[in-house]
Amino acid sequence: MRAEDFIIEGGSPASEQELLATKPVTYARDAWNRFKKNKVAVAAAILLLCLTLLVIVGPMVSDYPAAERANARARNLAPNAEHWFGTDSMGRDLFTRVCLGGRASILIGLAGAAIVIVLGSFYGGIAALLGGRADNLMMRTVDILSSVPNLLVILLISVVIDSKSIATMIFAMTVTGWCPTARIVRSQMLRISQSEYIMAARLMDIAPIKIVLRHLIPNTMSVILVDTTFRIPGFIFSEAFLSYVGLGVQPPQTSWGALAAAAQSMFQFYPWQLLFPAGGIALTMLAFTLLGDGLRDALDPRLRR
Amino acid sequence: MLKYIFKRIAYMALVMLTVTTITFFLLHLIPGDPITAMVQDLPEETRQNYLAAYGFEQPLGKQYLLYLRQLLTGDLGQSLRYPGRKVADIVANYSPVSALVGGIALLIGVTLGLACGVLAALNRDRWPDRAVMVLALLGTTIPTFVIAALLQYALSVTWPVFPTTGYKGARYLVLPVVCMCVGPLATYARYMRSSMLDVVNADYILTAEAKGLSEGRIVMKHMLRNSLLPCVTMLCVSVAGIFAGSFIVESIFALPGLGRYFISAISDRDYFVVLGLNVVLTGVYVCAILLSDILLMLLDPRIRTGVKA
Amino acid sequence: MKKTIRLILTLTLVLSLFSTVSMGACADGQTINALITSDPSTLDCARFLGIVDRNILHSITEPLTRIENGIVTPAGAESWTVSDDGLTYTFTLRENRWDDRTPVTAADYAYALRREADPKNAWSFAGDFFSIVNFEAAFNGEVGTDEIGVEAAGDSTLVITLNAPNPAFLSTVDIFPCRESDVAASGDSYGSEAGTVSSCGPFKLDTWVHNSELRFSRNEQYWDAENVRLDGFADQIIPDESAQMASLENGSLDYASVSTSEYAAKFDTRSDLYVIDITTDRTSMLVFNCEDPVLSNAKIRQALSLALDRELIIDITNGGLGTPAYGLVPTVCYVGGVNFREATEEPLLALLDFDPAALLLEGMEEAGLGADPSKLTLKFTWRDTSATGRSYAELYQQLWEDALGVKIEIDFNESALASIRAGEYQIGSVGWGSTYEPLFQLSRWSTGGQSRWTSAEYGALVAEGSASMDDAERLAKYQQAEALLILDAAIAPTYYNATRTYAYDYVGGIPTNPFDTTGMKTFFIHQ
Repeated sequence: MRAEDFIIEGGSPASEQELLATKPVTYARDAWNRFKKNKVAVAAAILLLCLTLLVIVGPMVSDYPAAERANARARNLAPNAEHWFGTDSMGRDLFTRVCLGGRASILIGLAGAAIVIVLGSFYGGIAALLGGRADNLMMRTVDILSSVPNLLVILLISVVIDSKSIATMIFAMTVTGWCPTARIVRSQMLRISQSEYIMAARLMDIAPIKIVLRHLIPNTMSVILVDTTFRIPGFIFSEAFLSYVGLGVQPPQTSWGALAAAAQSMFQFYPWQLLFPAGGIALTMLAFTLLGDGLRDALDPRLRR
Repeated sequence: MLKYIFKRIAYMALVMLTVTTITFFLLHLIPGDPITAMVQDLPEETRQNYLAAYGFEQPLGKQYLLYLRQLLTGDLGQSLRYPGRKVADIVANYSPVSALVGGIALLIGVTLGLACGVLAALNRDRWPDRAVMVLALLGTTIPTFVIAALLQYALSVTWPVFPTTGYKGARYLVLPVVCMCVGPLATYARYMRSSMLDVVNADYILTAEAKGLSEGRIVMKHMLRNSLLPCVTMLCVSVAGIFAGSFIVESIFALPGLGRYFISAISDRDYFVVLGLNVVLTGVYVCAILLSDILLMLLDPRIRTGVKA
Repeated sequence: MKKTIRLILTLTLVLSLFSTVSMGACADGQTINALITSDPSTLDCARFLGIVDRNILHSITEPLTRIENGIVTPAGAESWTVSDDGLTYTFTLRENRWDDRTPVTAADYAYALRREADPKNAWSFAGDFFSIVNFEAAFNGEVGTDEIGVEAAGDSTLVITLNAPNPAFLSTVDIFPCRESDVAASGDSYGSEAGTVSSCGPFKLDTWVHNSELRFSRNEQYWDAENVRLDGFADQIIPDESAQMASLENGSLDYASVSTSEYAAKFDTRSDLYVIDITTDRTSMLVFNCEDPVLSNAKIRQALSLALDRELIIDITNGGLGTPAYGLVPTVCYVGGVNFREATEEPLLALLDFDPAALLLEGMEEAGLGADPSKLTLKFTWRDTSATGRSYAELYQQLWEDALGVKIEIDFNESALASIRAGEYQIGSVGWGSTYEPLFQLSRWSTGGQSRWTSAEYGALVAEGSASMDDAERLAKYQQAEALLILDAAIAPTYYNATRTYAYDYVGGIPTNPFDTTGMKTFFIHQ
């Protein structure tokens, strides 16, 4: 069926078609305005900015790397003027350690999420667009990959590669980590492409690429964003888990997870050693999640008023 | 429909085979052998004897075929680290504990989570939305091992209400369940909220409103049903996941569950246990996916196999 | 939502009031809750793997002999005689019964040893028995297991024949009995579940919930049952340290060993707990690769050894538990009836007056390495790659660099032991446990060992000592050997390990000798 088969009353078909298929150019501005109104999300964004700044600038302030060196005579000190966050069991300045750990944790979260989102979106999107046998084959591959328990994959790969660098960890966590994203993206695209307005757009003979760019992608964006905001804290969390198991970031590098895991058994004696890294994780996760919720609401075209 | 299910089951067997193969060879890539991981400084002859007793001196391909043949006879093999324990018994002994704790936690978490999600979505951008979401999230932002240790210290040492560790009755499950339900709670709260919001502005809701249906009816009949759909797949996967248990909670509260066993098996290089558990857990997972697909088909007529994008 | 959670908590609380579990620190009859940190691998006495398994076997079966307060005492054997050449041990068994009332016979002990020698079993402690005639050959599959030097002469006489005299034989091995019928009945799963193992020791295993708890009750058939005071005990399996300490703190455990000084300080303030410090059989030490061009110089090795602040190392790496070591043999080893350490001054003490930095310079000059220590870089191979483990290595690095001015490069390597064994290292860190007699520790270095230190004199001293049935001569040879090894700094002992146990006041009878093999037999509750 083609658009020409219809007679649209009250105007030339071409202009009407354009009008219906085109989003107003103020989409981004509109989203930004709505985001600004969401105080929680703005606060979260500011918090994230501060945290990022802190972990970057912190070690410069604290006389790194000297502060990072073990000092047998200044062990387990409580927070004080010289050591803002106190010292750890080896007499290292905890403020410096928490900043360094934060770099690693945030990097793992961002890089991991970026990889799985990009891979997953492309894969899921292509599968949904191709449809038919190709879609079937692609999704069955995803099924197989994601049937291996995620934890097993991460642990096995960390153990097999045995290098335990941050890059290795990100690789281990993303190697099958993109599968859920691919699924989500595909099913959302399928849902949208079967919705009435896409049908209508097709009937009006709008180029498929236009449909994809104007309708499918913006409408899938909200789902991808919700997923992203889940994934970043998810990676930070997985790293903390791996650290607890002993497969996390290895010294001399550290991460919030590694710091918290090391402090866990002694928290009743040196609560600050647990409080600061765990607080770092908690604040970052909370901020990312709230920011994501705000972004989602702002970007979702159907929520526009 | 039946034909579709049969096809899926045949395909599930293929998945299991692939996963087993990948795991088998990945496991054998790990440097070191199980006996060295267990006992350091072993005389070389003893080590060789041990490896020979388990057939590890044979070529890898042959070991693989032997293992597959063994699997086909329904034998999941035996533990190396714990001589005399069959993998099938390990699964039978440990997974019920994990499933019980995980099941209760999931039930509580999902129920509360969905309720929170609905509450937040209906009050979108007003204070109940913010408050509920932040509260639901708080629990998940702190690593489980930190929550578990804090809870244990507060509620069994400082204020001894619940037992510290063990598995001897309902009281022993309270703290582990609390630790484990915060995850699903936040996850489902967020998904439910976001999926409710997707539905809120949908045409059929507008239609329903235009028809003058009461708000309660709209929420219950139209919004809830349609927003629950995206959660179905997730729920099936979550249910499959409870059998695998939680390493952290099981270690800290000394619960005899599968999660703890699984992780220590990997670090012990206990090949047959890792492989066997993997086969079982994968099987459960694959079944859950099939179940979720069937459920989705029953619930949402728009998603059908063969419908082209 | 918070309300809901509180409601659920309250509900559970109310429900739990009806459950019968007892909690809190109190003596509920003659039972004890003990801690083990991992699930026993198996309770099959021929296949077991670790110390956890071994301790339980000591509680549920009766070995031929036990070590009590450091002395080999009759257990399953009422008495025994050793032939004049030291080769033949003849044991006369006691009248003892399995928990199903059938008598324990010499055949049960002989069967257990034959099973241990079977290469099909190939178990890790078989090496302990290699001094029995043909045991090694049978283990390597060269002869049948019925050709080993073990013979049941009647129901109550067991004869064991050795290859060579071994005065430490009975203090080194545990000879547990095992019934052929039990093994036949359970097949491969023998030892893996509670129902599969019979008991002939002070206790019997009632239930075994894997990875959670093992419960034992007294075995009324046991020959010495009247001296067993506990009604039973439970081993709680708790891997996480803070959970272990929490359990001890609230009385879920009646006693537990504590390895961190902070927890120790906390428990010290408790009036209802008492402390038992036990020096263990383990010496922590550094090994130097004596084939290395730099470390082949004895003075450089001595300097590295003397530069270590051993107190600080104990404080940081071991929670303050342990004693600085200036010798190899720990304080718990005996020769004949004489405590080795009490009879022998620690050799390294003689060198303490030397200035390590000066010694290093002398050594460098001898070795032609110039006079600038900062140009000397040494590699320190370290095995523990955990976060804390790594920081310990950095402590050694700091100590050496501060005291000697040398550069230390740390090689973190999980397979450090393999590198050390292969001689691909400069300085390594190891620990060696010992047996009741010092021979085990001393013989590690007879042919160079991990240090690749060769001394014909040392080898001869150890060999002569170990073959001597005369206690005084044996002691003298061992003393000379130890002095030779330590003064030449083939190794640098750092500390003798120790454990600290806290127990509630009502718990009594905790063994204090690390070699004791009495299991839970001696425990009791003060009424």
